[in-house]
Amino acid sequence: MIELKDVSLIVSDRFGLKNIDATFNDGEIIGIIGRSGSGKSLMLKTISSQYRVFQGDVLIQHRPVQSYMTKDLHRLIASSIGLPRPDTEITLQEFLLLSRIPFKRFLNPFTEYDLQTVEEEIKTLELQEYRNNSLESLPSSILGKAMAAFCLIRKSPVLILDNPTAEMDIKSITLLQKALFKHVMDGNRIVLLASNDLNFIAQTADRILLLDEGQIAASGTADLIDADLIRQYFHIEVFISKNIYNGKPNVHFFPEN
Amino acid sequence: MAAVIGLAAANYMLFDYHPAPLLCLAGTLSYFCFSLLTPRDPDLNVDYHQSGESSLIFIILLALSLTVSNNGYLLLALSLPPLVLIEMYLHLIAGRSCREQHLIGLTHHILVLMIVLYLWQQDIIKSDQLKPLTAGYGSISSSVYLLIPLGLFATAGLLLAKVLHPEISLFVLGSDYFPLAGLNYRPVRLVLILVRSLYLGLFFSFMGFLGGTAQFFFFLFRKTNPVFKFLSGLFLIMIYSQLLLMLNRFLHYGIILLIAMMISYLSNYYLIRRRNTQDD
Repeated sequence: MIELKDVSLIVSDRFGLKNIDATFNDGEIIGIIGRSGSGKSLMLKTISSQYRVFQGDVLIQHRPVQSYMTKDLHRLIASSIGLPRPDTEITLQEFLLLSRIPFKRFLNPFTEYDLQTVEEEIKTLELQEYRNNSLESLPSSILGKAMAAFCLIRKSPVLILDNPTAEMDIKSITLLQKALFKHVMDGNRIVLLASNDLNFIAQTADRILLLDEGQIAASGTADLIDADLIRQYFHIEVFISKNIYNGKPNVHFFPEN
Repeated sequence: MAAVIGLAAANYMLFDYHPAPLLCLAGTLSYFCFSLLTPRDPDLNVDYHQSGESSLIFIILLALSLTVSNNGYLLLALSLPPLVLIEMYLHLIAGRSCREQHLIGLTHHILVLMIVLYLWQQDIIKSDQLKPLTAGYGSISSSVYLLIPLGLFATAGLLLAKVLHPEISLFVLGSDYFPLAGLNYRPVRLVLILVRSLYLGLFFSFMGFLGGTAQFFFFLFRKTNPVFKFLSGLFLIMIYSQLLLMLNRFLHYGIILLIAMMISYLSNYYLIRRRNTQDD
């Protein structure tokens, strides 16, 4: 469980986050949407303790996030990190295995479980044919999938992905969606997603938070997304239909926009 | 391989040079550790030719061997602090980009060139005194027994590189990734600079400038698997050093130094061309 209690954060002399109160329960996929600069990434970075100085409390499993040791925190939270340096020559498989390092004992090798976990996610995200390719040789769409796999492999109670679909093609997005559903299936994990891809969030998240100027402007299930809300906060006209399989909203953009 | 054995045998029988293949093996092992312990990080580049450390340590060794001693351990101990300082300067203060490192390296090389020419003119290098030769041939050539501690040191480095491979790989991914191991990036970066300086000092103090400059052969195989990289590097280093030793009998030490430096330049140029995407 993650609790944010009256969290405020000042960035560049203005509120990046302002009086955020929220609770995220185990087994949930939370989608965070909002315009650029609305505080989506800031919120994720505050939860993952990348920003350590803020007002209020961020509790993970009832303990303040700052009280965790670095290694324990990385066992607890798998969050997307920036892309690795493009000139690193390690292979995709080696890279993915490194995600398990918080669980590895110093000077000991990786365990059989670590190797199995990597194999499992390679299969889930269909990365088999790239496993022995060096990271620098991977196309950006595959690198996007690799970054998602890197986080999933940790099997942490909290998974945080910031704009995971940015570089992905439609098939990769579907595979990621399946992987996320599988990830929370046992009810012990939370997934936090921030994205500009409203359709991905609408189809994937159990609960959606809309941020505006660092504050929670609206929250609810996928049905929260409607034409009025998008007009009000994104200043754009859209048409919303319902997905015939799950009844969740699909956002259609008008060319004249 | 036959060519190497032939050259080594000829050198040994005709000119009583110490068994250079063993020397090369020790140096190669030591350099191999060095390349494994400080791998493929653009901010902590193993390509010493680019930043001119080879030239810098040559100046240090030459000054030390002329004034102090030709004992390998003493040279290593005395050359370590300035080497650490220049490494820290290059990697933490100045040399943020490969281009800057290359310019600094070029300055080092020009400085070495001027010193070598001056010493040659003054007949200091031409003379067959042992001390100044140490900077060129390394102190290992004066005592084969030095191979044993060097071998042990290299083996320790290899084991360390093997055991710490995941942590080192994570370090290479950058400061965002390294906290996953529960370690702080900056202190480890400093430790790696110290380790790098130690190994660099080690093989230059013991193998000298001629042997040291041969290490660029590793970069020809930097993307191949470690065993092939090691064996290919060793093979080319042996050919290179045997040829230089052979040439030295017929030419002068100063000219051999200039040839080694020229090869160092050409290799540097070749490596930069090959890695042009990284350099800009």
